[in-house]
Amino acid sequence: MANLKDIKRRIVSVKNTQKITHAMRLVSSAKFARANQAVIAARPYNDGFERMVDKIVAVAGDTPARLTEKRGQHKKQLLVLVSTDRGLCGGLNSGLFKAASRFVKEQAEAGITFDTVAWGRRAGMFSRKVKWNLLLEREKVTDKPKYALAKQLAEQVVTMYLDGAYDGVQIAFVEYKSALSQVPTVKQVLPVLPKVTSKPTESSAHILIEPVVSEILEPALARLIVAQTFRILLEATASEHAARMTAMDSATKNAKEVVRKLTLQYNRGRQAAITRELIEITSGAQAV
Amino acid sequence: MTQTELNIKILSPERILYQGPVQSLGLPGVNGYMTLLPGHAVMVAQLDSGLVAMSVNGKAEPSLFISGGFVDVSATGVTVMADVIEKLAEIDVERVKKSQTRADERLLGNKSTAIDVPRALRAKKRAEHRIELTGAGKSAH
Repeated sequence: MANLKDIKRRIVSVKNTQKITHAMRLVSSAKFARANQAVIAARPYNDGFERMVDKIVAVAGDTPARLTEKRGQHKKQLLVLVSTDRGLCGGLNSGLFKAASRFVKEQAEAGITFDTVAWGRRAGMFSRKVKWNLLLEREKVTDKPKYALAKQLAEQVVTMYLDGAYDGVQIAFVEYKSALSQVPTVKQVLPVLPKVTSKPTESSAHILIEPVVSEILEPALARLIVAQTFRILLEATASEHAARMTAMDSATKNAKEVVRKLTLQYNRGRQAAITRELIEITSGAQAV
Repeated sequence: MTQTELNIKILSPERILYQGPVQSLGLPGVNGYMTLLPGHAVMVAQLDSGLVAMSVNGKAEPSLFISGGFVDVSATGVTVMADVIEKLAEIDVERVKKSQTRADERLLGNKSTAIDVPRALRAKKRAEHRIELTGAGKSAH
């Protein structure tokens, strides 16, 4: 039987933890609301830009572009892992790392190896733990992401792709579906895969392109990658806060349950002690 | 059917700056300034940094500064997309003047150091357009 004092101490400690998790939940839900807004606000630009690039690609036909051409000679790709910096967000990061590991393993069977870039502290920690070839590490990417940051990160990756010996670039992140659903995803960003087939269609023949296709294609594709990166950062941020909100909510509920059980145990113990004392007194009195 | 209005959307990656019908839309194309009128042919064009002018109900709307981007003209509407779009009130004149001076210094200053001339020129142009929008540069011209 646990000491009454110990139980009391545990109740106090669990209650303190509960206060923390509750506060974290409130903070996360405020941050989540903001992140959710940002995801929604970025949508029109993204959709518009994708539509436009599809048009350009449709007109471009077979015009060569460094960002769309397929490469296959190196058997090596770049994997960008987008994680959170901090933990306490449920299975968010571990789910992502599991998906990324599975992807790497599948690709390894096809003879493709990966170098990694970590956006987020947890991704760096994980890459080192599993001994992936970690080239770059960046923290605070999911801290209110700005377009300028996405641009910087995207340009860095594009430069590595264009200079380096990579066949492609994949980004692993947690896609944000809703507050209750976040899905780990591996997405290919390079070479760019346009949605449309690159055959010029009847309607695309009428599209004016200014100045000329060969000049507009590369900058448009480069911007598309920045826009995609920005979206990925925003979604990863929204996922993080949504996941932390859920995790902290269940932690708070859990703490409540633990406190209830401990209080019950404490009260029982106290009652038992009182009963014991009474028995001692009455049996003492009888003995006299 | 003749269209009398263009349905336009002006978008930056972070927000919608303008959405609605206009009678004309002036844009800084890379080959020169252009004005789109209702019924314009389907087009995709690259834009330089400069000012976007809109005319709504015969009156000119306040211009916007854009940092260069793209415009997608389709049968249903016009979408302007740029990295940075600013309204007049959002421009920090002090900061812009500083960047203008910095660009000038780069261009005129020490030639021996390797500088990115096109980049400095672009920066200078951006600063000039911003100043033009705020009207702060008027006395200098």
